[in-house]
Amino acid sequence: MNNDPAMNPDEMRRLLSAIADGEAGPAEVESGCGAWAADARLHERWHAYHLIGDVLRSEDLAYAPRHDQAFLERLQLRLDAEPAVLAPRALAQTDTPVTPRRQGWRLPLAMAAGVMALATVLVVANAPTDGSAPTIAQAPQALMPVAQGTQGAAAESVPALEPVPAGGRMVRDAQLDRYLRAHRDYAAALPGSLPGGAGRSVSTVAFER
Amino acid sequence: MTAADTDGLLVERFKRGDRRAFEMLVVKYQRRIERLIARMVRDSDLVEDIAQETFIRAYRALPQFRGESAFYTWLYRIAVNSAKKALADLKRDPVLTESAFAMREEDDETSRGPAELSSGETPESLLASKEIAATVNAAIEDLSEDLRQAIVLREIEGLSYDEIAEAMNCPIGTVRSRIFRAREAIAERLRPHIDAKEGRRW
Amino acid sequence: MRAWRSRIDGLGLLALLVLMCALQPVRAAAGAALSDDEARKWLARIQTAAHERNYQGTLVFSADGSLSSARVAHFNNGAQSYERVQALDGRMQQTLRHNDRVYTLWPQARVAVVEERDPLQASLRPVVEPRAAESYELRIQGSGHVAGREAQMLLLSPRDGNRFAQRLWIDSRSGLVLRADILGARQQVLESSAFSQVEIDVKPQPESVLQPMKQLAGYRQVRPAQVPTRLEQEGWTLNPPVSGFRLANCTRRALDPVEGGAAPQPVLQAVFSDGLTHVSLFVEPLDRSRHQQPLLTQVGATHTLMHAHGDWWVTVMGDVPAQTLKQFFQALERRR
Repeated sequence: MNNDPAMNPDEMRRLLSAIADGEAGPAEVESGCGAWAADARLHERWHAYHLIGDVLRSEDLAYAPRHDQAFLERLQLRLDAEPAVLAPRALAQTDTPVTPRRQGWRLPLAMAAGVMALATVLVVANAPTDGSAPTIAQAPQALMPVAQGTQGAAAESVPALEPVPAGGRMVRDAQLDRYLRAHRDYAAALPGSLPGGAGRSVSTVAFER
Repeated sequence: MTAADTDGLLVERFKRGDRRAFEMLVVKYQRRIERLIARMVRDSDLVEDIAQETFIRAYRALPQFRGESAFYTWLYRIAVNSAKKALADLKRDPVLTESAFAMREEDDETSRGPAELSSGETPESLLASKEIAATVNAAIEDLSEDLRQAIVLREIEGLSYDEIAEAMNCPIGTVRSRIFRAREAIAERLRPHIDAKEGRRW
Repeated sequence: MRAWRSRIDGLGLLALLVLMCALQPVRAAAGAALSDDEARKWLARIQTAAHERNYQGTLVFSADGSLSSARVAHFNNGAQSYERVQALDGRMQQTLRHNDRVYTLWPQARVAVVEERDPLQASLRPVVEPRAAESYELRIQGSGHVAGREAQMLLLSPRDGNRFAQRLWIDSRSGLVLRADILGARQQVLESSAFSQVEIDVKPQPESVLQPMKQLAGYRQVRPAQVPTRLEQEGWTLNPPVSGFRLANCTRRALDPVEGGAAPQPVLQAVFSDGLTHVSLFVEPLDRSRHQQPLLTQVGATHTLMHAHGDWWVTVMGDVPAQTLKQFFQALERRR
C-alpha cells in the first residue's frame, strides 16, 4: 500500500502486475494508473503482461504489439472527443487533464449585414491559419484588385505582378466573385461537393460594408 | 475471488473520473474483443471499427455499470451487440445466429487452428503472431518450476493469490513476487517484438 | 503443469516465410499508404455516397480565419435529385437544383439566375473520382468525430507539386464526406469545410427545393445559356497538358450579371479535374476598360491568376498552388 510517487520502476512494475490480477488496493490502483499513463515503458509492460496471459490461454490472441498500440491510439483520439464522463472532482492530486484535441465547430461569428449582393467590395479577414482570432481589415474605397505574391511563388517573369507584403490584406472584388461562382459550380470533391459543391458556390467569405 | 474483482478496482477508479483506468482495461481486453468480433464479421475492415465502437459504447455506459456481472461479461455483450448492429446496418445477414453467442468459456473464443488465415490476417501478421506465440511458449519452458507454476495457476487456472498460496504452500507475498518475475522474464523475451517498430522486415 | 501446448510446426513456419517473400506488400496497417485498389475503392465509395445519400445539415466553411456557413440538403429518390444550399448570413442567397435545372436566388437584389444545365454537367456534379489515386497517395489516419458522427480520416497527399493535400473525414456509415481540409505545403490548413450538424439518410423532401423555385414573383429572371463546346473548336489548345489534370467540361457561358451593368459577355470556361480538385480556365475577348491589371491572388486555398494573352483575357483559378495556374496559362496556345 505504498503511495509514494517516487517509486522506482521495478516497484511500479510489481504494482502493475498486482493490479492486473486484481490484487492491489485502491491507493495502489491510483498510483498505478498515474504511473502507467506517464511512462511508456510501463505502458509496454502492462500490455506485455496481458499479451502473455492471453497467449497462454490461446495462441490466436498473439497479436503484434504494433497493432494493439495503433488500436489504443485510435481509441484515445475518439475518447478525446467524448464529453467528459464525470466531472473529475474526486480525482486525487496530480492528474493531467485530458484536453480535447478538437474544438467543436462554431457557427459563424457575428457578421455585419450590409448586402449589395453583386457589387460589394469583399474584404477577407486576414488571419494566420493557426486558429488565432481573425482581424477584420478595413474596406478600401476603390474597387481595385490587389495583386499579391503568394507564398513560395515570387512574382516571376510571366506573368509579372506586383507583390504585396505578406500578411497584407487581400481584397476580392465582385468581378472575381463571378468567376469564383462559375468555377465552384463544378466544385468536385471537396470541400466542394462536400455536399457543398454548392456549399462553396455560395460566397464563403465574411464581409462587411 | 471472482473474475469481477480483478477488474473491479479499475472500474471503480474509472468511475471516479480517471480515464486511464479505462484505457488499461482496453489494453487488457482489446485482443479478445477483436477476436470475438472477427468470428462474427467476415469483413476485416469492419472488425477493428466494431471493436472501437464497442469500447466507445462501454466508455459511455460504464458509469452506470453496477457490477451485476463481471466487467468482461458485460463488455462481451456490448461487442456482440455492436457487431450485430453493424451487420444489420450494412444490410448483411449476421454470419451466426443469436444462439451461437450464448456466453461460453473463454477458450471457446479461439476456435481456429493455427495455420488458417482469417479474413483480416495477412501472412505478415500471422507470422508475427506465430513468432510471439513461439516466444511466449519458449520463455515459459525456460522458467523455473516455481515461477511457471505460479503464472500458470493464475493465468490459465484463474486462481486468486490466496488460492495459489494455498496450492503452492507459500505466503501470498511470494505468490505475488513469483508471478511478477515470471511475467518479467517472458516480457523481456518479447521485447524484440515490441521494440521493432518499422524495422522488422519479414 | 503444462496445460498449454505449442502448436507451432517448424516446417509450417518456414513455408510461410517463403510465401511471404514471394508476395507483394500486403494490406497496410493504419497510417501506411493504401494500395491503388484500396484507394480507388475508397474514392468510389465517397463518390457514390455523395450522389445517393439523402442528407441535410449545416456546413461551416473556414478560410483565412473567417467563418461562414450554409444550410445544405441533398435528396435523391431514384430518378430525381434535388439540392439546396442556403447561405446563413444576411445575404440569404440560395442555390436550388432539381435535376438539370439550377436556380441561384439573390433575394435582396431580387435576381434569379435560372440555368438548364447539360445533363452531363448537372448530374455529373463532379465528385471525387477513383482516378484521383493517380495524382494522390491515400492513407488512413485513424478516425475522428464530426458532428457527432464517427468518421475515418483519409489523407490524400499529392504526388507532385501541382496540387494541395487534402484531409477528408468520411462518415463511417454512409461514406459521405463530413469534413474536408485543404492543406498547404507546410501542412497548414488553408480551408476547411465541415458539417457542424447533419442528418444522413433522412426522408427526401423535394418540396423544400421545389417550393422556393416557384416563388419568384418580383424577381428578375436571367437565363444565361451554357453551350457545350470544345477547346479546339474555340481555337485553343493546352500544350503541354498539366500533369494529372484532364478536361472535364468546356462551355461558352455568361457569368452572373453585374447589378446595373451591361449584359454580360459570354466567356469560354474549360474545367480541368484531377479527380479531386479542379481548375477553371476562363477565356474572353480583351476589354481594355475592364481588363486593366494582371492579378495573382489567393483566398483560402483558391488561387486566381488573371492576365492578358494576346487579344484575350485569361483567368485561371483553382484550389491549387499558384505554380499550377501558371502552368495552365503558359500552356495555353492559340491555334487560329
